[in-house]
Amino acid sequence: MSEPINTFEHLTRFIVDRNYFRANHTIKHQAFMPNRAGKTSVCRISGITDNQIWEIGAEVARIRVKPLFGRADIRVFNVLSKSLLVVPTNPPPIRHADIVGWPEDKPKRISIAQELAAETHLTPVPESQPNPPENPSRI
Amino acid sequence: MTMAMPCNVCTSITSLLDIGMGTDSEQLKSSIDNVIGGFETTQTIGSKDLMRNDLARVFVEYSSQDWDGEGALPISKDAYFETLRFIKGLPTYLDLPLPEIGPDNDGEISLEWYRDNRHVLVVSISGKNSIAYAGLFGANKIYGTEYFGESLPPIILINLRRLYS
Repeated sequence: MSEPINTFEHLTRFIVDRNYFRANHTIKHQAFMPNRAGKTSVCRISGITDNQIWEIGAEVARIRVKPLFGRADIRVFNVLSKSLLVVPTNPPPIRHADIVGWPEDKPKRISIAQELAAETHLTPVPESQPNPPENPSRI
Repeated sequence: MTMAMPCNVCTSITSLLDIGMGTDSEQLKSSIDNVIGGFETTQTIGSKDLMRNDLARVFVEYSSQDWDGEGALPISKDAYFETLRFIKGLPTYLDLPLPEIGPDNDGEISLEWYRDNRHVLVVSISGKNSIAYAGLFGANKIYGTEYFGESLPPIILINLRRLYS
């Protein structure tokens, strides 16, 4: 059973597409746009080490059959302030949650995703991480 | 005497209305297309070739189902051709930097003009004659949907000018 979400928790969105960030390591809105089920998949990262976070990221990338470029950390508070919700889900992957409550209207969704993207940045996969073939820190 | 008047929401001559009928109209359109073709060999308008190349890359790279591992739709041909039309219609007098062209997970195509995290404009092209747009302008934000017929919606041009003013 997943623990309830705390307003002060940190979340991360693993970045598995090179079109989700810019050359200056800022994040594009597409990284936070919900999928067709109206959910944006995130990982709850408060209370775990950086290594553990990257291990989960590698697992997420493996599940999606995509390279892991990095991650974009946000606070739950930032999500809630945009009238969205964060709902914990059962694994796999572990510590998973969904951002839900997105409006139906696409322009509104883009606008919210732009704001979320503006409040974070890309943390590239560290060199020591045994992953991706396409690591932006090595480009 | 002729007086010059500013045109703040002019569309480009590269996207003149195409509502004429008959032989004369066809000949006129052909002549205009030839003139525009000549323009596009200049460096300024040649930037549209870079945009078209980038668009083609995105179309090819994101043409498969589930390209994000989260159920994304492939970029639609309609979105591709409508984006080509959007690029053609971009007025060169705005002297805009190149947008970043990227895929949306619903099969549409986004063009993004980015100055910094709080100054950014995105247009998302559906292939269904509609454009969704959203922008951040400092503390202000805008968003909406516009019909995309023969020429670019003026609101898009106004906000592009606003972004780089």
